[in-house]
Amino acid sequence: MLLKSLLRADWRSGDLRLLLAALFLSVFVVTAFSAFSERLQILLVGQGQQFLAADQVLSSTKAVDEAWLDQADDFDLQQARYLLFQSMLYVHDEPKLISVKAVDDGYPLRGQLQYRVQPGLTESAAHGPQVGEVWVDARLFELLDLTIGEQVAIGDADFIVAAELIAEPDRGLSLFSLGPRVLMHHQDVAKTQAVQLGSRVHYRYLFAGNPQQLAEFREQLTPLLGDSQRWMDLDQSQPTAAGIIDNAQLVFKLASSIIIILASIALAMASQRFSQRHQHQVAILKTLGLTSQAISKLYIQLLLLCAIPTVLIAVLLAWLAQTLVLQAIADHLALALPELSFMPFVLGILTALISLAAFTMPALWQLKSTSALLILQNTQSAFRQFSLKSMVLLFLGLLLLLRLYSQTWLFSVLLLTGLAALVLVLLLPSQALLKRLIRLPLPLTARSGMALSNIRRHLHVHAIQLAIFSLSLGLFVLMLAVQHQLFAQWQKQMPEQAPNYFLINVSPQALPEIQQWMADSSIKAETFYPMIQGRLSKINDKPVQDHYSRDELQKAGVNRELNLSWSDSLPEGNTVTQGMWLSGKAMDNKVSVEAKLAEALNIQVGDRLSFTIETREVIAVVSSLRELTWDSMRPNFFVLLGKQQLADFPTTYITSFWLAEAQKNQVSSLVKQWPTAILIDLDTVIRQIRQMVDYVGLAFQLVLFFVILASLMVLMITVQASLAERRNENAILRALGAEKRLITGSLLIEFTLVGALSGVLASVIAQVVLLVLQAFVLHMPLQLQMGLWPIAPILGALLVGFAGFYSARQVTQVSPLVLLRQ
Amino acid sequence: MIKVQDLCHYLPYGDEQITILENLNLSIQDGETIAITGSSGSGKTTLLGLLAGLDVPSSGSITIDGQLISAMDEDQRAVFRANNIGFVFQSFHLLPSLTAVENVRMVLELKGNKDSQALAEHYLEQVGLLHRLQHFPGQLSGGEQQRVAIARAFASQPKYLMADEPTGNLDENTGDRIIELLFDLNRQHQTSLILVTHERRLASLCQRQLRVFQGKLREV
Repeated sequence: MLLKSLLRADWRSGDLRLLLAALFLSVFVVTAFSAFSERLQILLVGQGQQFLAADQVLSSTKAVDEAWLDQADDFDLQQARYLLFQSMLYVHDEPKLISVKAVDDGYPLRGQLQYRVQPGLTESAAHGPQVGEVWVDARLFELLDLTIGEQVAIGDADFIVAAELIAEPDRGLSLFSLGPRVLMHHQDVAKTQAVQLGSRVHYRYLFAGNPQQLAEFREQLTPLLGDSQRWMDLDQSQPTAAGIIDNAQLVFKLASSIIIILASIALAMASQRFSQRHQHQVAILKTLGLTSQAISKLYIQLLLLCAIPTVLIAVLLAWLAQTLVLQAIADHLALALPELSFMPFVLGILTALISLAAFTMPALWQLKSTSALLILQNTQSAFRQFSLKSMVLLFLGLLLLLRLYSQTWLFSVLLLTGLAALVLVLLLPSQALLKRLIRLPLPLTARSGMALSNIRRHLHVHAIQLAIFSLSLGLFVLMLAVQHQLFAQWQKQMPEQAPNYFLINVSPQALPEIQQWMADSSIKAETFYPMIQGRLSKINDKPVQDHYSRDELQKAGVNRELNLSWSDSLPEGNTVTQGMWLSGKAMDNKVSVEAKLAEALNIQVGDRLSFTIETREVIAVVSSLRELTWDSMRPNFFVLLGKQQLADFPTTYITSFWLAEAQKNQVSSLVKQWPTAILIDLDTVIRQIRQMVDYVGLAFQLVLFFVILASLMVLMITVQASLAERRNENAILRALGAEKRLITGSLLIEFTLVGALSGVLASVIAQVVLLVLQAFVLHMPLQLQMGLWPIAPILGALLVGFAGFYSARQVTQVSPLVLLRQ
Repeated sequence: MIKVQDLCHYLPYGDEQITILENLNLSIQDGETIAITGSSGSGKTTLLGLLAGLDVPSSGSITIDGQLISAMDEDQRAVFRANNIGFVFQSFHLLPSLTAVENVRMVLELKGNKDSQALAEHYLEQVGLLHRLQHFPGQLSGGEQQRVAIARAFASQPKYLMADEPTGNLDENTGDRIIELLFDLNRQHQTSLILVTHERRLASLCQRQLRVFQGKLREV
């Protein structure tokens, strides 16, 4: 019964509502955000996995032991397989070199195939052609005058053309396979007789399933892999997609941590305020005979009674909110909404438990030691705001929460200690800024004079508020900046007119003709680079196999033939990191090596490298190391040699170029005129990457919304807390004749000034942290973000000013008599 | 019966100690009314707090009805207060977010009383506030708030009533009415009344007057 009375009293007083609002928002934000983040990551990773058409792909140049595949069954993994080989397609007895992909019924495990049976109607399918049928690359239809239903021959077998092949999810994995694609059923390979002993065939084994099972399976299989077998990773096959996913996950981790910290600070402050304002009540209860134990029990019961439904409602609403938002996104992008695990709800409830235990309970626990004597002494407070013990608990609670989310202790400890140190350090400039502000010879009106006088009187409290505001705003601006930076980086990598076609296998005879044709057709191509295949055989005269394991060579990408080239000038997008770029005669017997390859094999400038090209050995001294942008959609080379050393070898040329949608019909005349040249359409890959960037963009907007929400919560609670003592001051001032407008106006000016100052500090923090992030996390060139500087002061002035004004209105709406009586 | 023996009380002040009360001896009989007077800061309120078990003396003993409350821990004293002592304060100390009847009910609920609503209304009727049951303290005058506090004090049916400057925040007329009510109810409920006041008029209504001066207690 007493509990009910207290519950009524606390609900009416508003303090409990503030605490529960903080708890609600904390649990809501955390649950909604982690659910949102989990689903979005599934979308992103799923999108990434589509580039592989599976979760994991094993590539081999010979059929693998079937016993290996049986092991995959033991791990409950889905499987599919396909073969890649070159053959001739005969249409009307005319031969055409094609790249055959023979897929089984399981292919693709991730993503979908796109095909067309009727003109203009593209359909999707989760499987390839039936036995006896083929799907043929759309380009061949025009080139060979093909029609659906027509009979064609591949090797010794005849097939019916069942569809026009528009897109394969994993086209990026075999971009440079020679010839346009023809998809056939795996069972038809034998009857074509096209695959014989010694034929150049790529076997791909696709696996999908539980990530842990997959990892165990991969771990078990890896030691058994031979020279010709390797796992294909997204990092290798699609560095842009892998980069976007990595960066997005890092930013989400940072963002979720920031939201958790803000929400926790809000809850801790609300709890402190609740306890502080309940001292009087506790003293009365103690005077009336309630024991300390009974007081603790009473308040814990009170808290749990309110917290349990609050948490449940928060979790439920969080589920509803993120489902609605993601459903809207999924509908917009025509995607299926991924299933949600229980983890976000468990995290939400764990957040509530840890938050209550670490942030609320210490404050309530402190209440029981309130002395009943307070009543007789008629003093307001002997209450210790954030005692050392409660600060330690706050820190540990936050650490535990962050660990729960980030799954790494190091990240949690670094982020938290960094931020804690920052708040402490910020107190000094906060106080200094405020002291400077109140000494400024501003043109004073009654309102601004009163505002400055308020700041002077509440200097210490304002300094703490300023430190916290500036941190919140700093984090917010930082999020904006990180988003801006990441997008700028992606946009830079993927400009609107990024090349969307590769042209390879251009013969030296065809080169001037094609260049002329391109000039006549107003197609601006990148440089044409010669391309010669060779293998790195020795470093400083020592065979590479003797010094490096197969894994190391595979990781460095030199376990197979490399594309070698030469160039008179440093290719666009390349940066020399060591040595000097040489051209012309100076490059004779010299070689320029890609920096990561050099790092993996410990190659230094001045080392002698030997390459085996055909049967001859070419030796060159390393003159420079270069960094490349692999996903620039331009031809890139690990190794650039001097022209004189490669001049004797037969070569073909490669280039890339951009074609607008309207120009695309021109490519068929290119293919018709120079049939040996191979044109590769990158549009699908680019479209997939752009779509991924769009998802991340949408996600960022929502993340910023959550950060603003959490920041506002902290702002409101700090403003509320500091306004409690102002009530009395305002009551006295109003009793003495001050107009309501004067008080409201002075409060507005006071908080706006504090907000603007915190914004200035926030900009400094954001800029410094951004520079650190650019240097060590995002690996971007250091760059000042001057455009972000005005945002925080304006936002700070608006948010804090509004929060102050809003709360001030509440104070002035109460009669001074009532305030004085209280 | 309250028995105080050799009571001393000191408060720390920096590195030193200030003597508030020194070697006090006192006996209060059941049903007696006692006024403790003295100038501001003389220690009279401290003495009341010690007698009520809100604090413990630095030395000496306080025994109430044979129970040595000065040796009890805080929780034991709280239980003792709940069963034996009622309070009326200068600043009323009502819970501002509870109505008049809820403030009185609370003390009954603390004792586990099942009929708290009816009893609370009964006590508020006794102090003439039946028409103000649902009013919050902020909506009541000072006199009315003190009457709610008196109703709350008697509702717990204490054997001892401790009143700290019960008219200190009230005007003379209202103060007179409150004194009248307090003494009426005291007689009615056979309570021992110990009140701290600096008002001679109020003190003179009590059977005994004790004056605290320079830490010592003397009968007036």
